Amino acid sequence: MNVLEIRNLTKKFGDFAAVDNMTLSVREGEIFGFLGANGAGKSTTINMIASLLRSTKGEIDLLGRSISANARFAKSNIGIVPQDIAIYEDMTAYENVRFFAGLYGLRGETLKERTAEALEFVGLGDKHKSYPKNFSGGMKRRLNIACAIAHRPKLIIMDEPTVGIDPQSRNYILNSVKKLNEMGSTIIYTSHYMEEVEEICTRIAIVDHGKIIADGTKEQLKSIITDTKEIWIGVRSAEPVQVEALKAIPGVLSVRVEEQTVMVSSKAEVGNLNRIIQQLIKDQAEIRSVEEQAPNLEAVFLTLTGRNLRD
Amino acid sequence: MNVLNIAWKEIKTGLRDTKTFLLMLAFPIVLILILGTALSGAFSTSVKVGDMKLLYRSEVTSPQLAEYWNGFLKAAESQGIRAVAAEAGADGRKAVRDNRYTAYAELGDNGIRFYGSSKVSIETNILQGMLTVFADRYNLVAAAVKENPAAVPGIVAAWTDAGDYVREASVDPKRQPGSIDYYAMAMTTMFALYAAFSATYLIQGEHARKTAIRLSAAPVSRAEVFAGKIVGCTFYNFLILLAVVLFSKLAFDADWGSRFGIVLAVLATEVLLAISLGLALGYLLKGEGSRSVLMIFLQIASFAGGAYFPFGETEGVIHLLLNLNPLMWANTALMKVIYENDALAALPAIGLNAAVAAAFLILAVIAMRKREAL
Amino acid sequence: MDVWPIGNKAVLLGFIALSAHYRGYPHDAWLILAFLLYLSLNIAIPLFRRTGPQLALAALSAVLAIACAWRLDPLFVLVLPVNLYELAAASKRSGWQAFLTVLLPVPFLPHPLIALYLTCACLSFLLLACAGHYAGRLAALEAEREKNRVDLQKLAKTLSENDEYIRQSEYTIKLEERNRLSQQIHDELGHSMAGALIQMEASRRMLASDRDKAAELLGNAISISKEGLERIRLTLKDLKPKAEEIGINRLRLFADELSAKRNIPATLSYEGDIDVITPIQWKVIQENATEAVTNTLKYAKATAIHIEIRVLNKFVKAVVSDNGQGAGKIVKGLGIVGMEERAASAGGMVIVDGSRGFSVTTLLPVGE
Repeated sequence: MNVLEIRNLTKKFGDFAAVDNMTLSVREGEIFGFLGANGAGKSTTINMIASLLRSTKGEIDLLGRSISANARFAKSNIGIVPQDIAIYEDMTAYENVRFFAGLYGLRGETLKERTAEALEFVGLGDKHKSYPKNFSGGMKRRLNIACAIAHRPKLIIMDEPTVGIDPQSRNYILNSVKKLNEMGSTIIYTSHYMEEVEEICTRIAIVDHGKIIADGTKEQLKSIITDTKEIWIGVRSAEPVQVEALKAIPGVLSVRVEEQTVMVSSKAEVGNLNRIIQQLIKDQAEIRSVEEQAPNLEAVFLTLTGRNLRD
Repeated sequence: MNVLNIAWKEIKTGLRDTKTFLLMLAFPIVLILILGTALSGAFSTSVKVGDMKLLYRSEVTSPQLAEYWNGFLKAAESQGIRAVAAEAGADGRKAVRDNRYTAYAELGDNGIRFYGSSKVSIETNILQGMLTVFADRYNLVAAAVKENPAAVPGIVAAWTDAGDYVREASVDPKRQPGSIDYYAMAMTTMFALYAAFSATYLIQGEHARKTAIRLSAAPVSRAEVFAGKIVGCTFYNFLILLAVVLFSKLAFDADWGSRFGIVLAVLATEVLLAISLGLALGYLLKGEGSRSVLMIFLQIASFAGGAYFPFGETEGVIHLLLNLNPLMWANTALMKVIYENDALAALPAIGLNAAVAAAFLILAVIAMRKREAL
Repeated sequence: MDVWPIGNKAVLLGFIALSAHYRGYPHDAWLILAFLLYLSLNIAIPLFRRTGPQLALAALSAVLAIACAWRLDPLFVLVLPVNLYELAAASKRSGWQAFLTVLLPVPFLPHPLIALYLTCACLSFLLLACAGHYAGRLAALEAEREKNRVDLQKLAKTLSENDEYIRQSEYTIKLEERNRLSQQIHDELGHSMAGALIQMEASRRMLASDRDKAAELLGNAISISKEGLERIRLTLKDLKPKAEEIGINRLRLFADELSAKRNIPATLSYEGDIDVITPIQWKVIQENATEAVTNTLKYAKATAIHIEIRVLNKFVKAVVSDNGQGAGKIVKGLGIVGMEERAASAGGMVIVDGSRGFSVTTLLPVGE
């Protein structure tokens, strides 16, 4: 089932189209990544999904219902983690989460439980009574997430949730995202950090100039540029290497041998590195280095748009 | 429910900011104290009357009149007026000009010529009044002499005995505010309007903290957010005013009258007006612009509304302009409620406050609807 | 729109007249003159189409209303709001400004009249605002309808023109092709066949007298015929060019032309297996490149243009980029929309970027 369905979505600011005739769907249980440079239209799209902006054209359906006609239903089922930290510095962590969860109609005991649960979830269980002004950047980011999940939304939208924080907090957040997903939430994740998107997203859309240029799993995206990967294995001597045996390994397309290097060209989607190395070990080739040149999302983005993600 | 939720959050965070709270409290109290003591003279109800020295030259030939004049002088003497006969050839008017005498009177058979000093107006007025009474009575006597001479001694004797040329009568039956009383009220109404400042931050603050995103994304209508914010902010500012009122009453013994509930109702609606004004301005003008406009408006309103010194009666266009000022109508209403115990006088002020507040709210809602989110 | 204020004023005037009558107002000749004057002034308003006279008449009747209210019957002030609205409408002010001006006379009115005045002002305002609103809507719809009609006409015209053009060009192509074929057949085959015919004719003559010579001539004829046949084969093969040759060569020609004629160095590079690009895709690429270059020449102030064709695993990417001033935020003009539509017709898309020079990237799916 599609949690989110967007058809021909357009948002114009004056003459400038920030989102340009975008069509996409997000299925239940996905971690859907929006990949694009700053100003590509990611945030505008997200803001329209979260009813923060009205679309100029096109429709958005959440759980099969149009969000413009069922605003309350849509809003209740979405949790948004804004790009900028959006919390009240003059309220404690607990009060922040409780206030926002309260806006989603939670009351009484349920409200207390969910608030505590959300804080526990982002690892701020022991900071109930602390004020965010004393928090580190990472802790604020985590509180920012807690405020969006206490009402257990079906769809969680995270807009660059890891900007400007330490690696430890980032890992914590990425793990939380995966955990939220396992607990049944569908997630839309935007970032211009390629590695994050590659690590956690099950499906990715590359966005540029308000359009979706390509979408699919990371393997599908990579196969846009090429189907092959190059594996270069440095050996002490290439003489004992049995080229025919290497060629017989599934996925291997061609093998070239130089004095101290074995160059294997293979289908990218086949995970055969282990078997290639095992073969070389069997041939007693004495491996010194292994280098795999597979296309990454950065390269996909660069190739398709001609620009780097962080331009 | 969401409205209460949001209102409660506003009040809680407001009260938690003790520094601002105390400042909002201290500012009016200090101003009441300073203005109330520094300008106490302007509210004093007694006037000191100085020495009254009358210089006169009598060229009266009629003995009856001379006797009567002497009787008058005696009576005047008993009222604390020193009368001095001018030496022959002296210039009485110059003496008055030199401020050696309060007034100079020339008596002839045909009447009295009076030269008063413009330097001491009250004293001159008293003397003039007395001499006028004297002249009137003398005319009566003169008439009596012609018509019925037998009655003359009786009339003259009755007057000379009583010597009631000055009748003391109070023209001040109403209660009047002292300076502390006045400024306690004026500062409270003025600072009620200052609540507009905090109201400009109500929505702008949410944008600055980015929490406007969450509020817009939550299944809460903008009307609920609006209502919650207004209720919370009004209540918070009303609390501060209540504290100022109580403090001025207990510590300075300011007079707030006996209709306390009505006074508070006027103040509460005034806060509501201020907050609606601030909210609307915060929507219409971005950032600091709204505060600058508000500052100018509040200064003019405070000045013209009698916050720094009370206005007397005005008329015509000026009266109309002055009465367009929310401070003016609040102050006028409170004066009547407190000092004339006229509870009904508060109704126009309460009604106007509510109506203007509603108008600004509608303005803010119109401005809001033009935006896509909060 | 025009009739609404008239109706409004008529009702109000009727009210004034009636209430004057029931109050036992003496039948004052001045009052009747005022009524008639007001009537004629206001009936004249909609007669004019230009705003100048309308403005003047509305102002005049406002003044008349004030004067009558002052000297004759205070109730006359009730028609003032309508005239003020008319003034505001004619001078293109917003309704709110008009409403505020209407409130101005309130302090000068006698107290019993204020409530009536305000009610009339508000009702008139509502009526006129409503009328104005719907008139505006109607006008907008009308304009839209007109635009649609014009568009439709234009489209229909283009369509029929295109049909005609297609028919024409089909015919022309057929003619040209027929000419070329006949020319080539004439040139290549005609000569050979004529030569072979002569040889064979000679061979028949010689057959009786000199059999060997005849055999030799016949051999000649056969080889001439063979050669001719081979030429025909070659000719027919030449007629069918290779698709990718057209594409990349046309682009190369295009780039060369740019360098030569426009004095802008244009380079072309390609990478990958360009055989997979279909003729339709070549057409899209070619047309988009032309469009993009036109844009560049017009706006970019560029000194170099680069055209790049890259065949990826699943996409064909064609980029036309320049080193000009670029553009911060791109506003889509007809050119860009046209490129997008062309790409979309082939299942692809166009990315326009102005951050570093100007670049137009056409992405087309491979193998669809």
